[in-house]
Amino acid sequence: MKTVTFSGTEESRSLARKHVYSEWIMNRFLHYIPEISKFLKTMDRPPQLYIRVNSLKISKAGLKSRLIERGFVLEDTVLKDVFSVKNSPHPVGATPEYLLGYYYIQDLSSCMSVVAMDPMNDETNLDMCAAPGGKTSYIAQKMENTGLLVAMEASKRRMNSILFNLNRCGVMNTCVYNMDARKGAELGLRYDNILLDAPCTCEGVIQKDVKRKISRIPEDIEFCSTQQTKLIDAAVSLVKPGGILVYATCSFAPEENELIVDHVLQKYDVEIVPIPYGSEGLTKFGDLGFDSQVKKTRRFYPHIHSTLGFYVAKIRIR
Amino acid sequence: MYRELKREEKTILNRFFDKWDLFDYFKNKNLLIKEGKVREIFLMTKDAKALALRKDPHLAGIKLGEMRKQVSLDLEGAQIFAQNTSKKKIVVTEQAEALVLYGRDIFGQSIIRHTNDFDENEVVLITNRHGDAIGIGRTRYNSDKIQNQGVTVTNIADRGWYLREENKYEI
Repeated sequence: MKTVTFSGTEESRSLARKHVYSEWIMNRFLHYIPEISKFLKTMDRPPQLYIRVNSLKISKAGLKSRLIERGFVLEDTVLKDVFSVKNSPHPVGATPEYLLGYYYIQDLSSCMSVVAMDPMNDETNLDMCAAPGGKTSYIAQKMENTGLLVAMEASKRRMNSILFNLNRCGVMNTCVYNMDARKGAELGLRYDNILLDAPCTCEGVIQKDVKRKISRIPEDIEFCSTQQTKLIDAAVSLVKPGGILVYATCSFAPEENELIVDHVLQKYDVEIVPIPYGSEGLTKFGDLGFDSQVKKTRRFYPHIHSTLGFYVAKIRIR
Repeated sequence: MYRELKREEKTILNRFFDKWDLFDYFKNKNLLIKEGKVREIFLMTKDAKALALRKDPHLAGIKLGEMRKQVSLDLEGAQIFAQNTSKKKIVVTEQAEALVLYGRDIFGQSIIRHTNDFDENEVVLITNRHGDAIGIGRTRYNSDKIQNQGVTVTNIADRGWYLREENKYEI
């Protein structure tokens, strides 16, 4: 599927110059991002910092009191396991509590995908593209370290990060495989729930990596979209009937999000399950139209939800 | 490659657990050995163990320690031990906690309290005032001869290692 592009306008050229984006990206943003000027201002600021309590090791109240004693200012969020860090006198990745695995530095939107997955004790679950292990450790936490969690990661280079984080967080129910999740059937398992946080163009993390404003080309979206389609086809085949597949990316691009979910709706007997957070998924983009159920998928925007850019779809396999 | 413990390995490990008063705690736990340059001991759930034996993973569960002629404890193992035993511990001040996490040895005056059950040159758990295992140390004195001055416990491993070695971490 070729990436959708639009003709430039005076507005797109001017905004691209002002906020230092490639013009083709700005043209696209103007067609689907709500409140564009607020969005662009927010994207030029550092993102809100969040930490997720690791309840495998410490209670929420226990962590909060320790961090407050160290001078942290924390605020509750819509998710009970996640704090927003308003002020920290020390780097959040260097406190004894971090080193002890009592919390994980993780964006609120990223936690949403695990909340949507809703993993339970004693299930058999799969995280298909697991590095660096943040969502894997959160899934294990939701499963209270019981049952079986399989984590797959294709990149050998990224294996170290997942091993580091799972050990630090005390995750005991997980087998990690250095393998391409498209070959996931080789393990001979079917899963109650699967999380596919697919490799993407990462437009949603521009606040953390501003190079992405200009480093991407339209073909990158096309490439990712093709890979994502292959991954989600593999994922559908691995879920037990009645099970849940959560599809997520940290991209804003509809070709990496709604288009992929629309493909699943057209090809398989599935339904989209609503998620009580975020903004509605798009039902059209350029010349593309999507199934009306795609509206139930969720988009997270930095200027609306104070998160990194993120997309989550909860899909039930019939 | 993950495999079951051999009989002699079970004996060595049970003696080790017993030394820490943890024989009962580990009685029904699921442990496997990962064969590599050294034999590593991993703790995991029953289902993770079953899969690890059927299809060899890169990692299964958490690393408890290593088995050579004797057993040596890893940092995650130390944390499990610290939460479940009252043996061989020293508790350090908050200031010393920060120094331990930078890899420093422990001075006598940094010790708030300690158990009275270790000899010179023994492995002890270094904990903070909350009881968290922030490191593993080797004693320079018997527990009844702890000195106020000078290095009393040598730092063998500490949680700051996670920070220092984050990008080099391998199992």
